[in-house]
Amino acid sequence: MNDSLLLYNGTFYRFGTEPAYRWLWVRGGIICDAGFGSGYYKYRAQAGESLDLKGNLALPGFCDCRVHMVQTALKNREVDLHGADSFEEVGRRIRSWMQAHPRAGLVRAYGLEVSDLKEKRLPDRRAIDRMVRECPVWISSRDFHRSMLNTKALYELNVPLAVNGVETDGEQHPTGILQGTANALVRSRIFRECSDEDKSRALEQLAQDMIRKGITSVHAMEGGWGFAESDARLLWACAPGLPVDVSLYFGTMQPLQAKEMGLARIGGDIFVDGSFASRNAALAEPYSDSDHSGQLNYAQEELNAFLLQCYRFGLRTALHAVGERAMEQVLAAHQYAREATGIFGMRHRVEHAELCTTDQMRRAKALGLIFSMQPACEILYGGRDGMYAARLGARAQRTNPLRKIIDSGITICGGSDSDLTPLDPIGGIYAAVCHPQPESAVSVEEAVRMFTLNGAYAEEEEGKKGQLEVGMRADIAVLDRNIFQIAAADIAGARTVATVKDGAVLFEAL
Amino acid sequence: MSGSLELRLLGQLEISADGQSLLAQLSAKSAAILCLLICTEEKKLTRAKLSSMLWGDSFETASYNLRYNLWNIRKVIPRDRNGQELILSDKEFCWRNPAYSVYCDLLEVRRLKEQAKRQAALSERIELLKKLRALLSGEFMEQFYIRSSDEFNEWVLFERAACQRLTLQVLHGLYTCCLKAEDAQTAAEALAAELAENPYDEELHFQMMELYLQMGQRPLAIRQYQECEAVLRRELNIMPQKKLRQLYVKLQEEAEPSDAQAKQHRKEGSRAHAVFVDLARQPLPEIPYLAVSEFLNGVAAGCGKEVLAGVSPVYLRDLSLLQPSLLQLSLCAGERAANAEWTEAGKTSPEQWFANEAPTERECGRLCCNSQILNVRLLQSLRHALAQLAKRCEISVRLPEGKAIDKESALWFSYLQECGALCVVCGAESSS
Repeated sequence: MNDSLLLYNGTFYRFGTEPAYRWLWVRGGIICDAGFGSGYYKYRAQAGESLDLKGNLALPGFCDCRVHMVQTALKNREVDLHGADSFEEVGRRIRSWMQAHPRAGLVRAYGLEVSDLKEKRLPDRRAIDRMVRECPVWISSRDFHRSMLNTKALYELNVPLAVNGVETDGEQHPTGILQGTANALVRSRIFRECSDEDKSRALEQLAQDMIRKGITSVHAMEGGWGFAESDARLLWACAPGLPVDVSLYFGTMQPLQAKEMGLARIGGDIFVDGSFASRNAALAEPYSDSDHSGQLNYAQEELNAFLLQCYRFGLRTALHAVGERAMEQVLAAHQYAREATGIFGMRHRVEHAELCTTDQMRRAKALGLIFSMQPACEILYGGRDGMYAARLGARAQRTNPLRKIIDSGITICGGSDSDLTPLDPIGGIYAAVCHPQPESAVSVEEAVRMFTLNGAYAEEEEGKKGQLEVGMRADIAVLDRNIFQIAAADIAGARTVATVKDGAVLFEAL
Repeated sequence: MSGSLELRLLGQLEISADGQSLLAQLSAKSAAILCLLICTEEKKLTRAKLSSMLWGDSFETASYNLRYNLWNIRKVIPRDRNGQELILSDKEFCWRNPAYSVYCDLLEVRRLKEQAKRQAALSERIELLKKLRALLSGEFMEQFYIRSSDEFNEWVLFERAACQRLTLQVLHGLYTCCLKAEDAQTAAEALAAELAENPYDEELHFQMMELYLQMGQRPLAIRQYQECEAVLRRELNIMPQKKLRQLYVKLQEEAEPSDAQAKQHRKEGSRAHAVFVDLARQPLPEIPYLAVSEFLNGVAAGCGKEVLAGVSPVYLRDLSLLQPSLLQLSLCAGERAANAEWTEAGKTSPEQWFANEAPTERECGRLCCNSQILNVRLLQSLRHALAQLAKRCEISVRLPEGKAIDKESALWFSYLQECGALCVVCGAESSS
C-alpha cells in the first residue's frame, strides 16, 4: 500500500522562518521533503495521494491543551443552559431538547448560573415541574456545586433526602435543590446512568468533530472532583482507536493510581481553588461583588506531599490555580518538591493562571512551569461588562496577561477548557490576538504557537510534531484564509478546510 | 373474604391478600388513596383533603373521581373474615376501619420504633433494631409517582425522607448498642451500612477507624482513612478533618505489628537498636528504585533521628534523591559537620573523596542502571550509610518472593547482602 501524500500549492507556515514552504512530501506519516516552486514534480508520479491546497494557509495540526473530553462528548446528550437568563428560557431549552430527543430518559442540563437569571434564584422542584413533569430533569449549576431536580427526578433517582445538603422549605419538604453531600451523591448516581458503550460512541463522534476543526492532538482532563473517575479509565482504553492523539491527565490525588495505569501525567482537575464565576477562586483581595476572597481547597502540606510523590514517580502534573493565592500555594509546593528531590525540567503545568502577579511569573519561570491557558475565556468573560469585571473590578484588566507571561519567558499552551468554551482553536487564536486588554494581546504567530508547537512542547513532543518541517509528523490543518495577512478582527471567521493526521487526509472541504 | 391483607410500602409498592397481588386491579390513584388512609392509621381524612391531594385544583370532577376510586377499592379489597370493609366513609370523611386486620410494613416499623425506644434491656433492644433494619430495606413507595398529583407526591417525599432518617438512626443505634454489648463485628457491619448511605460523613469514618483499632485491625483502620481521604477529595474536594488526620498520622508512626521481632531483638540484642523493614507487600515492580526508596523510608522511621545522626550528612543527602524524607535529616546535621568529617579524613571535599575512593567493579558495572555515575555514587553512599548504622543497630529487610520488586532494587539488595552490609530475608512470613 502506498502511504505517501503530496501536498502542493499551499502556504506551509514556518515559525520564525521565511519563506513558507509551498509543498510537502509525506511518507509513513512523516514529512520527508518540503520545498518551493516546482520542486514537487518529482513526487507526482509516485504519490499515493495528492492534494492541491489552492494557495491556502497550512498550519501544524492544532493541539487543544485542555479539554474535558467525556463531558464534551456527552454535551449533545445534555441541555446546555449557559447564558439562560430566565426560568422561561430554561424551560424553553429543556422542552426543545426533549423534542429533539423524544426517547431520552433522564434529562440532564448543565451550565446554569444564578447571576444570569433575572429571577436571581435557582429554580426549585416546583419551578422545574412547571417546565417539565413527564420526564425526570436534573440541572447542574455551572460550578457543579448545586443540583436542581424536578419531583419526578427526585423519585426516580431515589435521591438521598436524609443527608446534609438537602434544602427544605418551611414545611420540611425537599425543594429539589441539593448541595454538599446530597449533590455529590446525586452526581455520582447520574454519572453511572450513562453506559460506557454510549460514552465510547460519543467520544468517537467528538474526535471526528475535532478533526473537522483541524485539531490533531488533545490534552484530556478526566476524573477529579465534579467528574467521574471511571471516565479517565474509559478514555484511556478508547484513546488508541481515536483519530486524534490523546494525552490523558488523570485528576486523582493518588499518584499510584496514575502510575498503575501506566500514565505519565496526573491532575488537570486537581482544584487548588475554584473559579471567578463561583467566587471561590482564591484571590489576594476580596471579590468586588462580595466580602470574601475565595478559598483554597488544599492545605499546603497536602499539596507538598502530593507533588513530592509525583516528582518521585516521574509524573507530570497539571494543577488548577486561578487566583493569586492558589498560584502562591502551587509555587510553594513545586519549590518544596524540587528542593526535596532535586528534580527539574519535567514541564509541570499550571492550569488557567488567570490572575497571577509579575513576581509569581518570575518564580514560575525559575521552576520551569508551563501555563495552560484558555484565551477564549476573555471573549466569554472579559470586557467592561463581563463577568471578570463584575467579580474583580479593576483587577479585570490583569486577567489572562498573555503578553506579560510570554515576556517573562514562560511557555503558554493554549486550550479551550471545552466544554466551558467551544472546541475552536481558531477562536482561541483570535481571542489571544484580540484580547480585550490590548496590553495583554499577543501576535498571531505567538497565538498560533500556543495552539500548536507549545502544546507539543508541554508533552515533550516538540521534536516530533508542532511544526511543518522535515522529520516532523505530518499533522496539518489547512485554513480557508491566511490569518497572518488579514485584519485581526477577521481571524475568528477563518475555517478549517482540510485536516491531515499522520499523513492521512481525514477531512477535506477545499 | 380475606384473612391477611398486606401492604408493603418500603421498596416497590405491593398490595396483596392471601399472597395474591391486587395491585394490577387498582388504579394508581386508588392505590394512593389506600396507602394514604393506611398510613394515617385511624385518623379520618376529609374527602376534600383526599381530593385536593390527588386531583389538585380540578374541583368539578374531583368528588366524582374520589367516589369512583373508593368504589374501586371496595370492589378489589375483599372484606375480612367478619365481613368488615377496609375503608369506611361518610359524606365528609374517609378512614381506615380499625376492626379490619391488615399488615403494613410502615406501621410495623412505627410500632417497633416505639417499642425500641421503651426497651431498656440491651439484647432485646438490639434484636428490635435488627428487625427494623431488615424492614427498612427499600425506599418508601419506590418509583410510585403520579404525574398530576403534586400534593400526594409531596407527601411521599416527606415520608421517604422520614424513612431515610429513621434508617440512619436505626443503623447508628445498632452500632452503639452492639458496641456496648461488645459485639464489635455487628457494630462494624452496622457502621459500614451507615457509611454506604452517607459516605461523606467524616465522623462515621472516624468511628470506623476507632472501631477497627478496638478490633485489633490496624491495617483496616489505615485503609478506612485512605478511603475517606480519597472519597472526600474526589466528591467534595475537601480534606479530612484534623482529628482524622491526626489519628492517621498516629497510626503510621506506631510500629508495624510485623516489627514485633525487631522489638524483641531490641530487648535482647547486643546492639542498641534493631530495625526490620518489611517490603513483602511492596507494589509496583515497574518503578525503578521504589523498593530501595521504601526501604530507606523504613530505615529512617525505624532508626529515628538520634541513630541517623550517626550517619554522614553527605550520604543522607545523596540518598535523599531516592527517599526525600532523608533530606531534612541531612540538612539538620548541617554541611559544616559533613565538611569537617571530610577534612578530618584528609580530603577537602566529598567530590574528592569520591574521586579517591574508587567504587568496586560491581558498583560501577552491571549493578547500576546504565552505569550512570550518579547511581554508582548512590549505591556507595547506601553501603557506607549502612556500615555506619551497623555500629548502632542491626538492620534487616524482608523482600517478597519472585519478581515482586523492581529489578534495580533487587540487584542492589542482592549486592548489599553479598557484601555483608545488609541482612536480607525473602518470603512472606519468616524473618531471621
